[in-house]
Amino acid sequence: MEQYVFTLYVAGESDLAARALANFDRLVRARLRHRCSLQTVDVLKEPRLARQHRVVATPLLVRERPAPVIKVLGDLSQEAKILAQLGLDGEISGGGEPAGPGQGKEP
Amino acid sequence: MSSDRSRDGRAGRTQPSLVIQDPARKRPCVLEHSAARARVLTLATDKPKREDAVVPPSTSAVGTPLELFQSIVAEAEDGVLVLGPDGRVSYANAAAEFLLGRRRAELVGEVFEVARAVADNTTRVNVISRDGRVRLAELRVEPLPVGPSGSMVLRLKDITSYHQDAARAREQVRRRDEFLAMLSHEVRNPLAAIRSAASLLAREDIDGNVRRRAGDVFDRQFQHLTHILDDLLDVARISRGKLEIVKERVDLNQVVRDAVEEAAPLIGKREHRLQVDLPPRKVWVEGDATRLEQVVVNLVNNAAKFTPPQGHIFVNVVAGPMEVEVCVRDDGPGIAEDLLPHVFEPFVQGKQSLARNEGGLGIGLALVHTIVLLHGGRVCVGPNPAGQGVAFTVKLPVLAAGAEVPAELEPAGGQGGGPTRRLRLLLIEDVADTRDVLKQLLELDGYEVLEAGDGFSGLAAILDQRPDVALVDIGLPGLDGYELARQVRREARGRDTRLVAVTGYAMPKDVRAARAAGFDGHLIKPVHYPELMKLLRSFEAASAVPSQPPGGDCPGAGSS
Repeated sequence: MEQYVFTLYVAGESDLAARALANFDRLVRARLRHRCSLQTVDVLKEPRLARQHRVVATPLLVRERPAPVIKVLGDLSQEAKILAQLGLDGEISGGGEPAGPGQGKEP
Repeated sequence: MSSDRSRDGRAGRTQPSLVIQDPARKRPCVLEHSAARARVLTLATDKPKREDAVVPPSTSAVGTPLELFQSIVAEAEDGVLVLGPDGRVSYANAAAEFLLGRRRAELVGEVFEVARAVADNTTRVNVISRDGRVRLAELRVEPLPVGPSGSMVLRLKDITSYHQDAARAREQVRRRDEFLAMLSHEVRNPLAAIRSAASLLAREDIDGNVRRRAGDVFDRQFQHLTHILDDLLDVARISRGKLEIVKERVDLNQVVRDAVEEAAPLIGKREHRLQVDLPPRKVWVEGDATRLEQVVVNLVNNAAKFTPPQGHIFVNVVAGPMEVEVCVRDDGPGIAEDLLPHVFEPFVQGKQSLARNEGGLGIGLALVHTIVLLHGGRVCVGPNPAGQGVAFTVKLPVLAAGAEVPAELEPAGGQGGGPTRRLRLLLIEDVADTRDVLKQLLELDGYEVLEAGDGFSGLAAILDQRPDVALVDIGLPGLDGYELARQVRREARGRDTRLVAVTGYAMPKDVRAARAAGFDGHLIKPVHYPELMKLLRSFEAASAVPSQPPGGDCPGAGSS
């Protein structure tokens, strides 16, 4: 199984940062579960890292692995687009179980 | 087809502003630039070559369309970055430099991959601007129809303040609603009590004891309502910046003593132990004694509200060479840390049910803050250093201990208990109920009372009947109280009557206006009966006229 490695750059505890984290859990972690790891970088506390990685705006989610590196800017609220961007649109939420956000979809 | 239109590169060059609105921006931010999309961009923009730019005479003055575009956005309020086809920043305007907190040299030539990273053509992001603030910005990415094909333009609009303003406005509305709910609750309670007391008094089968207690209820609830009204007026004054103070030399020790006396009922009610520590010497400050007293009263009342029964409240005054500190502490539950910075804002209240039970509108501390500021001082709040609870500290500049006593302007109070000379009084008041009740009270105390319901008949009554004292409502129909006083004073017949102004306003300027018009005294509406008695007695004492027989027995009834 492929291992996903993400870095999320945020600026302090802004609303956007909080939403990005929550959306990451909802969209990405719910799908990849133990196959993903996330490191959060606060650009206020670590401006050098931010410069080094050319981060000018946050929240910025970086898919470090698998290659290629993919960057997504914003609070990750655009579910379908985010999943397509990260190449996760094939993954089923909830770690393969039928339950999850799709639960109530029955007509 | 758009290709037809756009194939002519000149359109793009001569009318760049039109082409910027190209439909291609509909979904410009793409993860992979698909070949098809890239072609659209190409078509939309053509390839103006550098050497082209100097050729067309029509555009030579401003250079290429790209240069024209850049000169247009150079001073724009929004940050603008131009990305070349390779994703490198080729241009950044001043606002972009500021918003991103990077100098042009740090931006131009760099690849930030922002354009590829946005999921939508408008994305909200945080940026750290040059002033070190985290700002909220709206980021738009669109293809740039001028310049090399595949160029993109990135716009950053700072929406921080808009968001803060909106949040602040919502918060204000919420607080105001809460305040109104609180206010109606606050007013309803006294009204209910007054109504019951009135029903009780209307019965004939009650004894003096019950009647007295009903009277006490009236008195208390009345005071309560008056207090609410005063607070409301003060808040209105604060929000209009009209709170006025008149400074004079004031002994702060005396202010604190008076304040403690005024706050005593609430403290007694909850069996708090109050400890007051004052310096042995007088502490002179330049200020408004009434307002300063209000500051201390509000702080002590606040402490009493939040401190459970039998808790401790400490008031101490510490005079330094430059400043004097008045500290009010309690050993109550304290104030939540997140509330502390906001306690001086109007309408802010703790969630404790204790405070709710005690009522209050959440404006006492806002008043404290404003009054202290007007005195050139400051007030701060923090945890009680001596343990649990809260400590409020007011710091005021002190006056050098110069002249001994402040000029005493008040007429000497007549506390002498000599034989009461029955004065003849005239009530000039347009509200019949108010006039009627006051008349009955005064008659019960042995005064002869005349009445007038408007300014003109009041003037006539003073001149014809020459009462000893006339209580004059200022807001009279026909002739207002000030004008009435002036006219009375112009007549020889009107010189002997003492005129007392009765107003709803007790601002120093109102008092001054009343004096200037010829009034001898001033009472605040609603008239506090003991105060009126005090004033009348002082007139009696001051007038050296020897005691004369009472002006007739008091008929009990007699209404307007």
